[in-house]
Amino acid sequence: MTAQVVLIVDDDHGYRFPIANLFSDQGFSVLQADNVESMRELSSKAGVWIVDVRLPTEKMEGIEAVRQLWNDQQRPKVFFISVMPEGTAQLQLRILQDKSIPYRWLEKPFELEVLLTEVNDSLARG
Amino acid sequence: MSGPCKDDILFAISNAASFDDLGRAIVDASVRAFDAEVSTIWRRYVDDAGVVRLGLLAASAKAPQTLAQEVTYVIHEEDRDGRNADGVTGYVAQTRREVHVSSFLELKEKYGFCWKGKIDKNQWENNPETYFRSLLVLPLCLGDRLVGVWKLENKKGSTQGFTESDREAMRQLASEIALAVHSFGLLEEREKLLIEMPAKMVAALLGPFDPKRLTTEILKAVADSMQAEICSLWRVDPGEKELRLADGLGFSTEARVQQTYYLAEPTVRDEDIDGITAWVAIRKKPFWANSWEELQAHPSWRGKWDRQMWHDRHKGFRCLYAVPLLRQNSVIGVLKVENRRGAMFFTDSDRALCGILANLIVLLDLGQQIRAALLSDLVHLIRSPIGQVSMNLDGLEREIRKTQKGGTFHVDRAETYLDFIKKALLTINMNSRTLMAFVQKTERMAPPEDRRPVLLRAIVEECCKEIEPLLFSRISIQKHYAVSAQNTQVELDTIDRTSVQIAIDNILYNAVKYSKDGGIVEVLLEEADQQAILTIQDHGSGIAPEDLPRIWEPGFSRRAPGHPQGTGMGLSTVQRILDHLGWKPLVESRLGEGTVFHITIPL
Repeated sequence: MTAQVVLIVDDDHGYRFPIANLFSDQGFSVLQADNVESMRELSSKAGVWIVDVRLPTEKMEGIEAVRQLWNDQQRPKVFFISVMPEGTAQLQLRILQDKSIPYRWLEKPFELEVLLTEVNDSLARG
Repeated sequence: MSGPCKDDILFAISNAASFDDLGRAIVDASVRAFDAEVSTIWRRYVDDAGVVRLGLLAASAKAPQTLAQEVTYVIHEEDRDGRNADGVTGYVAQTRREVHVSSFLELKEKYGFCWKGKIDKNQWENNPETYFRSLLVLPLCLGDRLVGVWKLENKKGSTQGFTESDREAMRQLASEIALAVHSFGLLEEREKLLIEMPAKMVAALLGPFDPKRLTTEILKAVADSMQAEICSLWRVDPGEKELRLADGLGFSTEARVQQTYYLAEPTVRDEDIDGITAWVAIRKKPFWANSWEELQAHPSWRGKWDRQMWHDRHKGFRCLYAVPLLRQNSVIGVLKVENRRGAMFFTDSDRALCGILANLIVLLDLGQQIRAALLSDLVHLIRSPIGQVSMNLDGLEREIRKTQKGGTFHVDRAETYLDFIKKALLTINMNSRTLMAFVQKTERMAPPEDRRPVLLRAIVEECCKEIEPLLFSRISIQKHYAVSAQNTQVELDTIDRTSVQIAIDNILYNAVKYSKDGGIVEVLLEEADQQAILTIQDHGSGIAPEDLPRIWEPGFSRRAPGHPQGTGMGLSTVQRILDHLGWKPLVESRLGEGTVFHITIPL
């Protein structure tokens, strides 16, 4: 695993595309997944996960996928992206807090620069 | 009173279909049976401020009923010697003693201390000395419990008032009348609750969107219906591991602190379950206890809640009823009511009512969830494509700035940004038009004279014109109007015209959405045999045979790769519009080859 690999999980190519370009222009390797199954395959290869909260899987949504796949030893940086504000997912997020999984929440649409800064800052903090 | 007269009153009671009926039947039969000029029945009730009163249940035709209805008597139940009684009627209610007088003078002499003449101004024109001759008043009791008061006034053709045999006959009938009044009173109260409670709960659901407030409103309604001093609602947490207190009435904040029950597997022994509330959820069965001993005897009892509620004293506990909230056989929570106001226990009928209320809560909960989901879907429908426009514009701007600083301009990348922006704008356009069709459905106001002939070709042109600037990935629309259809007209009012546009837009949008890069969407209009046929054909991904019958279903949505989410309402709206106009759709599709929509329009 390398911290310079970013995994973007969103079923909407229209969102993945600008985010992927943003990071590849900055020298990151970019992996993309449009569902939980692809995310499961790629998650261990990336140090930064940018995950849409609402994924088209009946039972498993973005937060639940992170809860299952997040590895304590590798400690990937997690960024949730959603058109809904953070307050609407309080119950599910509490499960992450209980497991001490750190995350940041960005409401769509956000400025690409903001996401880049957040990711760089969190990588710098280690 | 003769036997047949008594039978007359009992017959009246047995035939009463409602509370009002019962009162009227008794007083009407009474005046006949006892040769009285007036008969009234008063019932005990507790007003909204908690004051115990007597109010008129019924008066015989001779009494000034409307005015008497405004009169009530306060009952000071603790004052059993009647010194502070509110009128002679109040005196009878408080002391449970009967009153018989044969003149107004006797009334003033014996009962002047409590006589207030409240009803005289209505009944005797403020002149009781002239009209009042005799009075016989009996308390209606069940044991020591006062139900009401029964009054007879002015024995016809007698200066001696009512006879001893009248009084004896009244006494014999009093308990039967008391029982009937009490039973009908209970039924009426229950009936009122059953009518009012769903209405109150629905009103709470229709109020401002606030789940917490709704829960509180539900609990208030339940506590009112059950006359419960304590009422609490417990919800199964999303992980189905715990039962958490959602809200409650009638207990201190201390008892709210971190109150949860652990939910074990259904196979666990009763003794190992974490309290009775958890037992109700796990076993999916109701539980009731009408004494502290009964409660403690349950093998799952832990006293967790009781320690906080009653501080281990248990003196406050009288009765409890806990019912599981079940939706399709899975438990979503538990409703608990404790201590029935003014009673020692909950009756069978209370428990039946609580069962009905529990079902209502489940329904409301479902309604609430559907509403929340609908709102959330709407937010996604609106914000998701807007977000795509914004972020792809951001990407495009970065691309341009990068070039200004000497970087390479990626034409393909810029074109893709533009494609995503166009797709998102097209989606916003379609979603908003589809939603508009729903508004039109409910606000249809076009007058019939609004109908006029419209060129079909013109409508098709307008639809294509609207979509063309937003076409992406080099997709194009090719139109062909057969000579026969150059001037084909249909009669439409202004609303139908918009609806037709929405329907054609939706089909065109789907054709574009599922087309391959550089694909062509063909539009053909022709006329033959008194009908026009509009064909819209794409050469895109096609529809799987198993999906084909479902495309008209509301909520059925196929996700096109690279496109924002649709409403799932598009084609169901199209079908509704076409049905309304009598136009017939036909769809053919082959997976990987494309889809053809034919619309047959009768002329």
